[in-house]
Amino acid sequence: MSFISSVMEEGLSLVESKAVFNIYDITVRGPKIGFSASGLKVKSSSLAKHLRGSVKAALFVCTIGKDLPEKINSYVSGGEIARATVLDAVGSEAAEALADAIDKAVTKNAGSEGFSTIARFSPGYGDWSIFDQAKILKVLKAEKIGVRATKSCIMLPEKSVTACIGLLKAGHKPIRKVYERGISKAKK
Amino acid sequence: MKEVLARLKNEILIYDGALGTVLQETGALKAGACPEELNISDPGVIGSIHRSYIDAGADVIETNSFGASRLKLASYGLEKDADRINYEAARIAKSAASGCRGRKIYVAGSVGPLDRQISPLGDLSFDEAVKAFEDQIRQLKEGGCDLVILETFADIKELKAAVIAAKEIGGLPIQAQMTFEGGERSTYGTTPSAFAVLLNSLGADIIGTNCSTGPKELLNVIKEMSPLTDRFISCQPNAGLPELREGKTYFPETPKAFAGYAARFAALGVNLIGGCCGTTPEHIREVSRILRGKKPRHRKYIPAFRLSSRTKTIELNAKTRPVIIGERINPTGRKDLQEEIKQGKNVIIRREAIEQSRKGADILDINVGVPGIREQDTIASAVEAVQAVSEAPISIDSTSPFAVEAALKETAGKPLINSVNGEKEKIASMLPLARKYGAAVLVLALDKCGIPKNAKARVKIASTVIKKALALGIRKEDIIVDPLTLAISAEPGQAGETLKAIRDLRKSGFSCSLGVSNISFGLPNRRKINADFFSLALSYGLDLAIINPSDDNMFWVAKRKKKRAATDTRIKQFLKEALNPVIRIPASSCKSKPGDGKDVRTLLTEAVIYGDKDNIAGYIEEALAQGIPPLEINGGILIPALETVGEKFGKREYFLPQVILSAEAVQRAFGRLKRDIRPGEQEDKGTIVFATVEGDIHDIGKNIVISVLENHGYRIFDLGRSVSADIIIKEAVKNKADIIGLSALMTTTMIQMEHVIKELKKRELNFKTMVGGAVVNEAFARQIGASAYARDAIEAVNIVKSLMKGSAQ
Repeated sequence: MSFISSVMEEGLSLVESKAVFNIYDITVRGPKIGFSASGLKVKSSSLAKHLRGSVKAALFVCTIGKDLPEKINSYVSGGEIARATVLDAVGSEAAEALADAIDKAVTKNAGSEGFSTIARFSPGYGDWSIFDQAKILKVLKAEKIGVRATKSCIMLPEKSVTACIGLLKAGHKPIRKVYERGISKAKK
Repeated sequence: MKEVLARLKNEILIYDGALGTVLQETGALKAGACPEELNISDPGVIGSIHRSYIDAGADVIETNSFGASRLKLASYGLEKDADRINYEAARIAKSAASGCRGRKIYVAGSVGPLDRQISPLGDLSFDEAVKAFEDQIRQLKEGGCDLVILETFADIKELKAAVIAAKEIGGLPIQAQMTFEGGERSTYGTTPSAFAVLLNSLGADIIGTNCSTGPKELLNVIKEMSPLTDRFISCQPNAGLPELREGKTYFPETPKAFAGYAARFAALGVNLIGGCCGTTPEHIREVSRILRGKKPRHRKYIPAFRLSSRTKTIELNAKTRPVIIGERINPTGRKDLQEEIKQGKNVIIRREAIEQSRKGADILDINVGVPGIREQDTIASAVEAVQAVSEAPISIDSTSPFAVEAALKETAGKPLINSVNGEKEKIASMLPLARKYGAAVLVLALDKCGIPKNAKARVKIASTVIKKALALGIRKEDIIVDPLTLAISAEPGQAGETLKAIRDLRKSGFSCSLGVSNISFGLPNRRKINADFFSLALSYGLDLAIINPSDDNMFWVAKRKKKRAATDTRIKQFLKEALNPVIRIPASSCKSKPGDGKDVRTLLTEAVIYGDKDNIAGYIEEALAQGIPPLEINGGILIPALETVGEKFGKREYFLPQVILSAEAVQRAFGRLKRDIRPGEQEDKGTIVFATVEGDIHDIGKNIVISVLENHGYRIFDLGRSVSADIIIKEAVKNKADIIGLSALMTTTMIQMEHVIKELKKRELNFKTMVGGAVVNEAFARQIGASAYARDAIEAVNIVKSLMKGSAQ
């Protein structure tokens, strides 16, 4: 459908990818996870379980920038809902693809230090509160790339992603587990 | 100092092998410790490794300083010792080298990546990277190195920073090497050819490759690089890909097998051969046994105009001529782009980059010249934006040397500088930039006095600039001349002079470019004139053309195989046609209307089902003209068609975009119908107040529901996003709503829905409530006491119908 491909092309021109990540030594006690040096402490038994065996973890935030969400809003106010909807979907896909790319960069970085990585985990998965997003943004100084959170913990610009990736010592067997259930759309 | 280069002309030199992996074997390096720190705490062990390689036959040994940039040492807390570690690295190697009797041994100062990524991949600026490399190379030079080797780079921009740093320090031959995964591309996508094209003009003396997966893959790397460079070529493969055997790292290539590959490299014309990870003095001994004293095999460099991006190269040759430079990223005469540039945005720039590349532009010209901005900042961000969406190499179009330099730093490849002309200041500022950053240059045949009137004088100006460029060391093949196109509306005779200048320049072996569309300025029928002149210029030998790639006419001309004659008669014919055009009737006015022969009811139904927003208003006019009453059109044609769309959605034949497009088409139709419906004639189906709840800013879903419901004849009040419970209730009361529709996307905001419903109860108001949104479900709706939950817009139509029935009872 040429309509959709034209919106995809438009979407691509509106994407301005930015990201920050950092790797921390971590301590896991019960459901509490401490990210050394940053002073960040979070409480989530799903995350603690997911990170079992990890000695380090990366935190990242990435965004596709504010141009695309602004364009969606201008289409909405101009009554072009179809265009807005497709552009919204393109934006979500772009943000997800960007998160994948950051994931890869973290994995590569970890690999050069002799670590392997496990699947990424975001606030809103399992019992990890999405209010912790604000804390992650703070330790990563996300304002440098223009990302902030509202009171109700919506990230601005929309189409931003925060996540945590556990690092395992090479040779350590990763624990594979799918957290399909309980994954909310909140991460968008 | 350049002695090593002189020797390379006549013999293959042998490099040493791995230092790191051998060091691990000795046990001198503790786990997790910094290998370069041993230069201070255990220089003996480093010296002994150097000596074992010299004994094995190495002509060049590398210092133990690969990871000794200040930035990388910082991760061991050793940044304060950076100078000393590098200086000692050189001294240890130098003393091992001078201990060798009877043979001259050269010391190469090893410099590796910084492990901090340069923007846009990371937060390190290009200048900071250059500074870090300079600090390290300065110490290596002081310590007595004979050359500097920049190795194992994966990011071409970082390697560019390192080469520039080495050039700034000066005095040492520069060897620059990248690592290609599987012999195909670097981690960040650079191909061996893109690497060779940039490094060939950047000023490295030796270019090559090291590390990677093993010697076999590097054969292809060398083959790909070879015709693109007249520099010496070096190659230092791993001893294969490491395997883990009984807890120890093991490299599979034996010294004998490794030396077999070394012979194959020599056969390809490689000048320096050594080893990387996993190679030992035994490997080097075998290589030396086979290659010592051998003359290098002659390679054939094919000079041509070439540019590169991070991932792609473009070459001017018989097959690619004419090379197309896309001219669209230029604010001249474009209000939208001027405005965007002033606001510091790059949306149109990115879109133009994508579109021009898709249309087939080989090179993208970037011009952001708007008064009142800091051009150096703007152009750097534009270059970054273009590189993010397109693989095409870049042409930097500016008259400001500051802006050009900022753009050169941002470019991850070899760009074209557009332009330098015969003015003294321009020559003095632009040409050294081209030399420093390894760019090609476009020479405009004009000077302080303007554009000369005849071909001869233009060629003369160009020759002056070219002479200066060649004297600076810029290659002949990296120079393009633009003999300038003038508008024939003002000076018809100039077209011929431009074409003759092309012919003369081509005869002296220079490539030519033109901004073609200037020719038709101020005339009607510009596209035809542009295409005709383009065709004419091609027959006179034009190599590159700056055009609008969206103009299909131009592409048709560019790709036409058969060239037409380059004669004065053709020039005359061209001028006659261009200046006295025959007016033709445009084909579009004869076109028949779409949908001829179909009944208007069918046309309308189809327009709704296929979401044809553009034509539906016309069909409505026709239906009204045929006397179909407005209410009949609405209730008898549009609504049933919408229901068909709903059914298709239910059967998963249609997805959300199609539903919304249909809704938008009906809205447009209804907008026209309304004018013909008398007040009171339309039955009042009910009123709904919609809002996204407080704290939530997502409203696409809500808007979709609204656009579908509106077509079914309900009166809708949309309160927007993040609306407080109080305002929602006040508006519902004021507008005598039947239903309140609430939307929320987030788990953190959906609780606001409950708050609204509680408030309604508290105030004893009996509005029906309908809730929806990504995280909302049936159970949640029941739990908070909402009247209904709607999963999607189609379901919402049915729910509203039944809620209305309920309220009527």
